[in-house]
Amino acid sequence: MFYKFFNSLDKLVHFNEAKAHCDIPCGIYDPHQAQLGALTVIRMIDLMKGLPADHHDGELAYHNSLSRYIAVKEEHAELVKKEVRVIYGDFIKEEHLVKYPELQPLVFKIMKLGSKVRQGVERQDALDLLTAVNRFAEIFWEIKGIPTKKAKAPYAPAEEVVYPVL
Amino acid sequence: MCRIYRIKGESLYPEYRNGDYVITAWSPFSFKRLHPGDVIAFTHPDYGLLIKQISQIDRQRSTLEVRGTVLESVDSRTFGPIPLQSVQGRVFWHIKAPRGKRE
Repeated sequence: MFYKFFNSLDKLVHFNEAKAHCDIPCGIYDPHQAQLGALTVIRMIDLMKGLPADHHDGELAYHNSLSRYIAVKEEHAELVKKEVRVIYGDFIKEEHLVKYPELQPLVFKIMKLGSKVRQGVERQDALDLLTAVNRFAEIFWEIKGIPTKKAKAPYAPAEEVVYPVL
Repeated sequence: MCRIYRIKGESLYPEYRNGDYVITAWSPFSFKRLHPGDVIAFTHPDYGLLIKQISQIDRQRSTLEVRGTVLESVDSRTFGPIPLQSVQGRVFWHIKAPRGKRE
């Protein structure tokens, strides 16, 4: 009854809003972009290594493909770093770091691996990046109270990814 | 002085929810009666008018630490303690929106 009264009054006089403020945008965080970024880096390394060694007949096409793979690898390695940085900076609180002491070194590791896969073409480095990002995702969903499962991505490079069970 | 506010956001979930109304009261002497656990409306230079729960009051009773009840809440863990002067009022009446009809 009181609510109806205040609600009607609100429509007439428009009360001020007191914000019970969460972060902006409120609670919309998801490590999936970072995971896709890490998968893309692996895929680009695979494609680069799959280019034919004898490329003299189509040198221009070879360089074109190689350049594109490198550019996408660069972009997605940076995407991984950016997405993880945003979640770490905006969502993670001090109590999460206390509960998950591995979180801080894990984020540091992701930043370093993100740079390493830009500099080089070692598949193992890219796999290590995906493993670290998957662990980050696991912790993130655990904080949110959402269970996770591991499954192989249904597309190349078909590596194992942590998914939330919704 | 009494004020009516409509709550926007869920940082005090589940007790205070988006669309609820609160009525606050404030007088120059109200600060002496503030206690941890009280819900207050206050202004912040970056975030505007906010509503949070007091978690701590300093010994000189000049600043307050405020918290939301959910981990994602932006509160004193993000912006530090707030000065007494920013307090707009203490909630003394909470009008809850009917379940399922909150906006």
